[in-house]
Amino acid sequence: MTGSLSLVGVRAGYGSVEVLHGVDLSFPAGTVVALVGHNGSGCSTILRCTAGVVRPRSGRIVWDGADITGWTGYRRTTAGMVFVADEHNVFNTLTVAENLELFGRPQPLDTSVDAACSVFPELRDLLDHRAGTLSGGERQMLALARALARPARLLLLDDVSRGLSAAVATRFFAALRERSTAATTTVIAEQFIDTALGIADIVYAIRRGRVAFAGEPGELSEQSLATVLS
Amino acid sequence: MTVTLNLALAGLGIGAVAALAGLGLLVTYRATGVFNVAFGAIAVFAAYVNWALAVRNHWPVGFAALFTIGLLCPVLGFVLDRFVFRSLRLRNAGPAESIVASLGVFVLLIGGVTILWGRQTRLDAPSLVPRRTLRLGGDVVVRLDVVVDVAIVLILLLALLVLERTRVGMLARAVVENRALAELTGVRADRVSSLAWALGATLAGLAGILIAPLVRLDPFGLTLAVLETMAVVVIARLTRPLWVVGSALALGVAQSEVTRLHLPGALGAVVSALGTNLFVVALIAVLLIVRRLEDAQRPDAGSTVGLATRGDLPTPRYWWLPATTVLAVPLLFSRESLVTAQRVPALAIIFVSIVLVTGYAGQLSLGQAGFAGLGALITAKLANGSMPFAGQIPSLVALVLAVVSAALLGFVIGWPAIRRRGLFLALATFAIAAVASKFVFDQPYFTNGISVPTLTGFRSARMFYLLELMCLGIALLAVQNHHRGRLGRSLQAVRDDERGALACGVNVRRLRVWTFAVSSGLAALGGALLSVSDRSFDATAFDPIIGLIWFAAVVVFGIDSATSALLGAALIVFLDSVHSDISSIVIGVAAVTVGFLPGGLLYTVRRVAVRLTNNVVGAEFAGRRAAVAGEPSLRLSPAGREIARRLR
Amino acid sequence: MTASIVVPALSARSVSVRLGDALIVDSVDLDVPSGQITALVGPNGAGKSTLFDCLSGALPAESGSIRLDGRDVTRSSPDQRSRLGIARTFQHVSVFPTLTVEENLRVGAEHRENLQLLRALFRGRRADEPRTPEIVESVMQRLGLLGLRHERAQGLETSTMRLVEIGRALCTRPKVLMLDEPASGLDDAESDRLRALLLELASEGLAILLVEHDLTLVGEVAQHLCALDHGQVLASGRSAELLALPDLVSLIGGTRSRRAAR
Repeated sequence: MTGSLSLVGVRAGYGSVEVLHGVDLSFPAGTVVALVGHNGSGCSTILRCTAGVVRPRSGRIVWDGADITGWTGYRRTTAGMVFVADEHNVFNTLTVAENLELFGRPQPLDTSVDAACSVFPELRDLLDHRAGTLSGGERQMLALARALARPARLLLLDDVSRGLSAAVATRFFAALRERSTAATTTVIAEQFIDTALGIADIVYAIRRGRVAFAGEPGELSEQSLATVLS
Repeated sequence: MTVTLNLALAGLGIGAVAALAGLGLLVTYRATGVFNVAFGAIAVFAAYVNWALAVRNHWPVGFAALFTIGLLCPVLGFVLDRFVFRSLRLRNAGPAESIVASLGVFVLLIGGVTILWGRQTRLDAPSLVPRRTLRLGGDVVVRLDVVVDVAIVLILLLALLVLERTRVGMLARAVVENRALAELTGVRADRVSSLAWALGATLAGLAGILIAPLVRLDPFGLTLAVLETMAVVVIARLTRPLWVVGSALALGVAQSEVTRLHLPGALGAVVSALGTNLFVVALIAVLLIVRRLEDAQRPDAGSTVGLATRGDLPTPRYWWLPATTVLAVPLLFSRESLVTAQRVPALAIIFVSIVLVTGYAGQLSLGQAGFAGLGALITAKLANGSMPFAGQIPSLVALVLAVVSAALLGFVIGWPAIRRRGLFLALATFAIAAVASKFVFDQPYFTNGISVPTLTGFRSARMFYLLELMCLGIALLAVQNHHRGRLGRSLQAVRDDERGALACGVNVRRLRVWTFAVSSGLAALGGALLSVSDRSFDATAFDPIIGLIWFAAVVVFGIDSATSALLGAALIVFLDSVHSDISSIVIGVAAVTVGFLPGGLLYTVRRVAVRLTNNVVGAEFAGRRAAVAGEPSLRLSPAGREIARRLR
Repeated sequence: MTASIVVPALSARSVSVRLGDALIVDSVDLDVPSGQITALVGPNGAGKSTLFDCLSGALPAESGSIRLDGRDVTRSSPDQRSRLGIARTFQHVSVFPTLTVEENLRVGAEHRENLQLLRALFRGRRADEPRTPEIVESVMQRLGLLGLRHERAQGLETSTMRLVEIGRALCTRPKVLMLDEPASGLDDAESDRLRALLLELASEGLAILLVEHDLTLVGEVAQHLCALDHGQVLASGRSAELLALPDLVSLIGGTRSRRAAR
């Protein structure tokens, strides 16, 4: 299957704590996939493993038929992967403009700025500010601008609406929808389940490092969600 | 006036070299997060290669220097990055592990130099610039090499400042701040690191080649001279290149001016020592006095968490057998071998003092050599009756008094030093050792005509060995008491999570100072026994560089295991009795590979042994986790089943 | 405030905290009365955690004063405050990973009186362990941790670690218990148990301060509420009254649909 990404038997963790106890997941091309689960359930770790920030202890990650488990972050990025982490996701010591320039390389700065400000006009007045001085919400907008900066084949977005107001989050998701093509795969982890279910084609519920539910959003009613997650 | 000006101009030379070394250290640290303790060793290595090529092999000086600085150093930096530090980076190893790895590089390079070219001092280091002086008008003269050195530094500083404002500079700053994010935005962070290592090593090499003709070429002395220049990096708070250069030049000039002062007696000795060692004084002053000193971007720098074992292996049944055997066997030796073996318990005591302060209490302490030397010196002076205001004291009492006074000194110094965290604490302790070495051990005023006593009642080799074992027993008891009961729990809590420990009401500062003092006392005990077994007080035996090697050794064998420390001491003494520098090579190689041996050699051996014996622990552990977690069931919707089918 | 005069266990008066150049907490007043639960709410980045750190002593206050039972503790270190009766948990759960559950709790229980360091130095193995303090046993019993007492904390589930952390705080026998997002990482059943525990502790006279995003939970347990935004107190008072104000609730982040505790 082209354009798809799959995790096969991935185990991962931090220090002596194993967080993912062997997960099998598939993210088909051209879909939006939502990962939902409690804090600490492993959603973030799944994204980090896929992005290469956390190395799996075992298992494989396959993207378009190639085993990318050992790839560096740089190689994944040049192959078209964009990962926006839930924290430390902007360069605090650089200005907003410098951040955008880096995100959009090798495009000229103006292109990157326009792409970001078309969705987050709030950023235009902040271009000369260091990212470290922004508020949490502004910083999150800047981080998400990376998802819009250049065309991506695989978008991994962790904790998207952290610090964002509902209106801004909606605006971002709309822009995301608009830009995605049949070749784009988008994986989001979202705190607000209803938001996530609203835009996703496929939902995975993660519970304690294992896949507890896989299916379409419509199949996940209020009750079943509660039982699946608890 | 003329004299002042001339001295100032002369001082600029040392200042410029210090600035070069400092810039090299800074570039590497900022771009890779590794505080490269080995930069002094790289400088010395380069100076020696340059000397060997130019003097021994009769290469033209310029050509030799060009080869060393232009090819050897960058390649060395690149190799270090690629084969030592990249694997640590990939594992997200803690800063303490990086420090240990760079200590390994340090030990290897210094060991290599001593094996290849010996330890003797050489005065014929070639100078790049002709030894001419320029007359600036009146009687003001300046040496040509000083002018060249200062020019090099200023050009370099300018280049760095310009670079910082360019695109490349922006990429570098991005990598420095957040390496993972930089990679994810398509920056080749590894390339930036390699470049920084190559540049850092080149600057260190340049500094070494320039400083060698100004001082003397000897492996330990020159290394220390270069290491002391890290004072300027600390003054610059590890961030500002401009401050590095400014403070280096200022200190160089000040150091040169101090040589005008001539005072009699002990004070005179101290002042004349200042004239060659102002940098280390500045280092310790900054580290002890300045209130806020931390690298805001890396609050965890120097955390020892990565070094410690996870305590997940069961204690083997006969764990005490190997160490006891190793210690008991020498009693059967001939007198001659027994005298060699006397070093084992003494060294082991020093090693367990490091286990206590770094392994159990989680503080990087690189200064044990200083306390060991003080213990030896105070014991000898008290027993000789040459200590001011004290008559001759029985040697055993002198030993006890020396230990107590070293502990008190540790307490006094520990109080301000302990405010420092991780890296800064490590540097502060190193500076303490350097000051002790330069201002006490190296001063004839303190050490002339000193004879080390034999201990009353323990004159024979066998009796002395038994006494050492007794002391070791007491030391082990003291150290183990810091590993169990309420004290042990508290220390472990502090090491695990300082915030949490504070929130529980643990008086973290008191505990830290306490362990620092106890460990100082133990180091003094070990040092005193070491000098008695050597029958002499040898300042080079307590050189701060030796202290660094000791620290690396303890980490290599296992930082939080007293048994490992003991076996390690025995192994080192054995290796040194076979060939004098072989142990440092072994330690160096092991320290460089510390990334692959988390927990140290002994722990690795135990882990492999456990794995071979049927993996009992692992199975039990996994079983327990499954029992706790409870097996969640996978519920699949029709679409989910479809996806699952496609996955197969 | 009601007519009855309640002496707050912990009170902060015009406390400001500066981090670098930024004023994160801007002259905040806060009272935490005994026997009741006070919730600190506000959007991300409002300064809740910073205020929390300042109250517990982890960060210095730039100005203002903090009193515990009428005693000024503004300049006290975090460990002193803990010994005086302020206990806290952390947003990113903090336990001692290499210690067992029981040892974690013992560290909390043991630091009321000073450790005799010199006596500890050359003690024999025998003289070592007094029995486990009673409070550790009772807290473990209460939180259902008895079965895990000899487990190392590093292998535990996040939710169990949270319990251990709360247990450790309780073992210090506090007057004020400060909990930073205690429900994050807990599933519904666990957060029900937490709710019951909090109410029970308050009824025993403990003063509880809670940072929490989940306004449902806040509404169910907290009598008092203090809403922060941009480091300033936006509103404070009875939680039932404040939670009835739609503007306030939407600012804190409650307008969006039910939040799943991810």
